[in-house]
Amino acid sequence: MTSLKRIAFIVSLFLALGITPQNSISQEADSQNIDSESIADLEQMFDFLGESETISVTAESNYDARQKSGQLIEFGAVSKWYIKRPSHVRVDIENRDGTERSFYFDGNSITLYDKSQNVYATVIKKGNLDQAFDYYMDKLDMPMPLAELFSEKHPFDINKSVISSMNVGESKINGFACNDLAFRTKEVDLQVWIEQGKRPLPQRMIITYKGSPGNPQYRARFSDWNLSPKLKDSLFEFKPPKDVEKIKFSPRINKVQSTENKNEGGQ
Amino acid sequence: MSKFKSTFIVVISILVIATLSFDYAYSRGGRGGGGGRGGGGHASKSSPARSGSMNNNRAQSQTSTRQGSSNRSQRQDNRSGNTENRQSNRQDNKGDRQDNRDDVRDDRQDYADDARDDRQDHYDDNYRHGHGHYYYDDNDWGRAFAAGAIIAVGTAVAVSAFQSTDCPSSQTMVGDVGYYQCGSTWYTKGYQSGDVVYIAAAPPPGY
Repeated sequence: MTSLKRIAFIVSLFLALGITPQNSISQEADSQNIDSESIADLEQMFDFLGESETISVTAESNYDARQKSGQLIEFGAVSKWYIKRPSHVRVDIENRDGTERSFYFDGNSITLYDKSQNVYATVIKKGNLDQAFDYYMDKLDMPMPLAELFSEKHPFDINKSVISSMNVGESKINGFACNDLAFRTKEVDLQVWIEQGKRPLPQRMIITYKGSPGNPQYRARFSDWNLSPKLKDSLFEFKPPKDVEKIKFSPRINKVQSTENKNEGGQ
Repeated sequence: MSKFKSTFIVVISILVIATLSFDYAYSRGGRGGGGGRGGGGHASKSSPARSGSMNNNRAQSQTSTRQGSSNRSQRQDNRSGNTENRQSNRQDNKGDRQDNRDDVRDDRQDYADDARDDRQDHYDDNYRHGHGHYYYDDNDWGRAFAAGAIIAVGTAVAVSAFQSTDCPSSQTMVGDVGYYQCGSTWYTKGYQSGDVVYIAAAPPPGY
């Protein structure tokens, strides 16, 4: 056997076994592909959501968590959102593992109640929805997926940050005809299915954290969008159940000075 | 043909060894700190994707192994990106609806927030990088902690991990704050990065 034949044999053996040299798939080839119509559609969606005075919607969401082994494990939840601008929001979250949480904001304070652990924390925060969301995510260092959708401001500077955008095509999600749009920023890839017609609502979205090992994703599918729900004020008030334990928000980095915690308003 | 045979054998052996060692590494990694089925929740939930955020800084703050390099400049890019065009447009409409008292209060609040931001940045830049992360998730716990170990104030411990030790679950109320004593270390309970955790604290006054 000539050495050439031998090499050919080994290569074909590797191919047959599905082994390809790593990093053979180039991640480059991004170039400056900007579809301005898709950008306009995305802006319109954010604006539409940010301007809607009342919203209720259910989101089925999940995300990947990369383990030390490298394996991606998916966790998921169903969350029900109730929004009444300028300053009322409640989110009921049921995780797949059965644990339940509720988030309350009434313009005066933020409360997170963990039904499963029978604890809650309250912190004084006066302001509108955006101020509450920013405070919760950036100062209290708590995750709040989807909050950015309901913000009045865009989650990122679309015109500056988007390095690639395209219209993948028409797509049907939950029975709704949608535009399937794909965007890239330096840090994340975003694919969002926006309902066609008068209500430019997201029916599904995927965020890929391509800068993180394993490229974990956050995915959400929406149902029961309602832009004129009847939401009573009492829905946004937290009434602590008997025997519930009051705890604190304790961000890892002390983003909130200790004086802030002393201001916690009990109910 | 003997050359062919020996080549074949070498290739197959390499493949077998590679496969075995992969399986070994995989099973080792997958179990983490150990504990099997009983405790549950041994898979780490830490992930940038947990934030569901389209904003990289928020995403990175949900990973437990934060690197010192997620630094100030990134955060500032983010902050300037946030105070963006649309805000000012719509602020006009919203502003009209709010009464003067709210505006004054907002301003005061903003000022306080900014001052706090600056202090925090100072803290981050000067102290945070050297300290690494004070955070034990479920996987780290088994190796890192035993009742009576010396735990730095501010260290967070997962609830499931705390409860898997002999530490008493009854709390001592001091004012309206509940404390838990485990060995010589005191803990309070709090939300941290989305989880309920025990946080090592200075002993309450009088203890």
